[in-house]
Amino acid sequence: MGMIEELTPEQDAKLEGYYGKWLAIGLQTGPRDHSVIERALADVYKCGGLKPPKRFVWGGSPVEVARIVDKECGAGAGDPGHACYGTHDASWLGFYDFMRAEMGLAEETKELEGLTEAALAGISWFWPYEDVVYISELPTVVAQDQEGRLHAETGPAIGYSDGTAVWAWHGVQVPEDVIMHPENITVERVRDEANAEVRRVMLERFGQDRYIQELGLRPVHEDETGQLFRTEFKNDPEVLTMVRVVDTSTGRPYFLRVPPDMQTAKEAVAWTFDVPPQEYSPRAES
Amino acid sequence: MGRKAKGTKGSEDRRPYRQGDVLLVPCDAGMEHGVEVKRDPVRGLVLAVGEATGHMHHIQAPVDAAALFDISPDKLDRLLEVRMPVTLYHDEHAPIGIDPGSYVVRRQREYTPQGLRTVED
Repeated sequence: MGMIEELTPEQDAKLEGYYGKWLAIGLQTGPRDHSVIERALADVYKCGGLKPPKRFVWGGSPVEVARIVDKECGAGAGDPGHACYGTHDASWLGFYDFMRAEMGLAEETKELEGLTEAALAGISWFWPYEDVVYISELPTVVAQDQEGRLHAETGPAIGYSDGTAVWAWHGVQVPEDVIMHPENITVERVRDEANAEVRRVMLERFGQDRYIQELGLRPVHEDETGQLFRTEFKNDPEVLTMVRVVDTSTGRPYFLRVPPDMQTAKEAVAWTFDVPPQEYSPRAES
Repeated sequence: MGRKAKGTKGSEDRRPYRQGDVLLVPCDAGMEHGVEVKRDPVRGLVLAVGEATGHMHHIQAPVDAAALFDISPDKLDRLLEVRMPVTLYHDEHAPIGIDPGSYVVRRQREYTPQGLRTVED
């Protein structure tokens, strides 16, 4: 059989369906009936030309199972690199599912039938040995934002029944209290956070205007349009520059973030309206 | 930046008007007009709406006094053509009288490290 160089329009049109199917498989949450999963695992062994395992050892999360594997099979044996990822193998299992069903490569993908069926059934991470298989429950929670990034504002973005959890804000993994107790975030914590992405999340949760205010900075420039503040972060080229303006109608002060290189308050305010500073002098303002 | 505001036909004053998060920048009357924006039966010409509050920057004026056009594909920038003096209203801001002329309606924006964000009041 020759090399497949491109998809036919019909095959191409079906890709979207496989994407949706395998995305749903990958995002499955539990619990699952253990006997169903254990039967699926026996099939995985069979596809690999092996006898089914004699023993199935369950744990509440991949973290817990890794600990058990370390204990029973030797330190380091539970390393995630030694695991099979079940539903979390959706990205490549989906590819071969498409190859099998739409490209006529049934024989070539035969060995993956067991894993594919197991992922469909909702198998989570497992560590296979000849006589025993160590297996995790599925997560109980997987939460995402509209763009599909891990994200949850009031709980874990990934959670397991044993309490293992991952906390994330629009795809950035953060410490638990950044999500659950944003009141714990302080100026010092934001300032000293070494990871720029985590710091951005903290700054968003804390409020960048509040941050600038609580730092107690002197404005780097001031004129009739407002006050310009600037502060740098360690190990980050991204400087926080904000202009403080006063709403002429309500008298309320507020801050707007502007590009880092702004030099004067007027230049900054003009930038917020996308006009050159020399053209920003309202004849009337309310 | 980059977009340059030129002189107007209606007024010698080239300075912009500002009402909260909206700036009316005098521009060349010959600027391409794009699609005319329909009038709201109650508010008249709605220049901009705050997504959170629903507050509008709007002009109530006879049909031949002013018209509004979409000039950018993302509908953020609009062209306001004022033929007779009109008044710009907003629930939280004082009314402002606008002289005849052509104006680009510019929304206030904010910088984010990832990109830009429109400010809405």
